[in-house]
Parts: sequence; structure tokens; C-alpha cells
Amino acid sequence: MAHEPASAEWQRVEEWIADHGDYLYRFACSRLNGDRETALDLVQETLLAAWKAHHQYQGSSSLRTWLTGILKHKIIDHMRARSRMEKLADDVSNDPASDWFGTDGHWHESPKTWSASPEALSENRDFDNILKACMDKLPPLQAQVFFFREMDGDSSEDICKNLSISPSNFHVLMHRARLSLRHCLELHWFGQQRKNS
Amino acid sequence: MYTCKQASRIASDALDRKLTWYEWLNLKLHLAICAMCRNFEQNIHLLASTVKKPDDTAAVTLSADDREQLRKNIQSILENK
Repeated sequence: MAHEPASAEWQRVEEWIADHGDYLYRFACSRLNGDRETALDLVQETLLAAWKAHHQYQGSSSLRTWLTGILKHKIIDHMRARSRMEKLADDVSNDPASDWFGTDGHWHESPKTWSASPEALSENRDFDNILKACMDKLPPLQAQVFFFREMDGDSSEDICKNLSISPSNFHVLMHRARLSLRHCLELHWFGQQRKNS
Repeated sequence: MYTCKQASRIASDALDRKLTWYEWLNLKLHLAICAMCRNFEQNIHLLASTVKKPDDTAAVTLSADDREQLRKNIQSILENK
């Protein structure tokens, strides 16, 4: 190597790559539908951002948690950039309730009972594929919010803080994501299962 | 009395926050007479218990090339800052 940057600094980043590189990469891949190239870019951006901000790291959370938090922001930024900003604004301001409810607030189409055990579904690859396809159809911000809440189990407060959204917008987004996913799964999975049984 | 639209929203909120006593009561009253919303509630609960944390421990790892690329990129950026 020609000349190393102030060696302690560089060594810090090297350690991060060694200790957390794989984890961060996996984390990014799973949230980007396996887009490894973007995942690698975002891991790089994360490490650089972390290096710039490392004096802010208080040690109150584990280093991995801190790095993962930065990566989450990078993923969100990426999602935001990918979808047009006005489309994101639509997520909150446009009320798609008319898709599901009449003006009197009644269901257009009645939800039906889903008879399946969560355990059996979680292990069913076909169901998993349908669920993924349904999630792909969600607007980006809804998808992110849903992902953080249901898959990562983040608290509502943390998600609002990380995404800079108000609690009421958060609940609107979750409600819409659930309405859409429920509808999509009824159409492509549970309805089909009923037909076949 | 809640409409189905309102009840579905409160049923969804219940998964993410603590309801006020008033909301809880109104939701229960609505669900008592509305099979559609009972089904909705059942559906989103099943959805919540089915979506699982992606396996962050799975066998996806940085390849040696990726790792080297990452090191090089970061090093060159740090050097040129």
C-alpha cells in the first residue's frame, strides 16, 4: 500500500469490515430483495458514514447495533431516491380507502376467515413467494415501515424517529400496508386454497 | 359507533400501540356485531405472526473479491478526503 491514512483511523474501518461486514451485507441483501450490488454500495456508504461520525458513537448500544442503524438509514435513503418524492408524499396524503371501503365506511369486499396455522405458513415456500410478491407491490415507504415493524420488530417510536414521520402517519401507513397485503394474500393465496379444497 | 373503516384502523393500531380505553371499548363493540371486521382482525394477526424476521444469519457472505473491493474503495476515499 502506498500510504495509509492515519493508520489508527483506517484500522478502525478494517476492523469493522472484518467483524461486521458480512452481517451488514446480509442485512442489506435481505432488505433489497437480494440486490447484492446495491447492498455492497450501501455497506460501503455505511462504513464511510460511520467513520465520519465515529466520535458520536457513545457506546450505549453495541457497535453492530449502531452500524446497523446507519445502514437502515442508507437503505431508506436509497428507497426514497428510487421512488419519486411525490410518490412518497402520496403514500400519506392520498387516501386509498376508497379501494377498500364505500363512502359509508363499509367493506367493499368482506374479509374472510383464514384457516391456516402461522407455523405451517412460515414453512411454506410457495406462500413465502406470494407474500414477497405482495410486499413488492406496496409503495416503498409502506413497505419499509411494515418491514421494520413486523419483520424487525422495531418499536413504533423508533420507526417514527428513524424515518422522521409522525405517529399518526406511521399508523396510517401500517393500516394501508395491512389492508393491501391482506387483500393481495386473499386474492393470490387464501382464496385459491379455498377453491382447491 | 365505529364504521368498518374506523374499526379496521383501530384493529391495526392495536398491533402497534396501546389503545385508549375508549378505542378498545368501541372496537370490541364493533367486533361483537361485525363478522367482516372480526375476519379482518384475524387476518392481520395471522399476517403478523407469519411474517418472520429474515434470516440475517443465513449463508450470505461477502466474497473475498467484494471484501477486497470494499477495503480498496474505502481506503482510497479516506486517502483523498
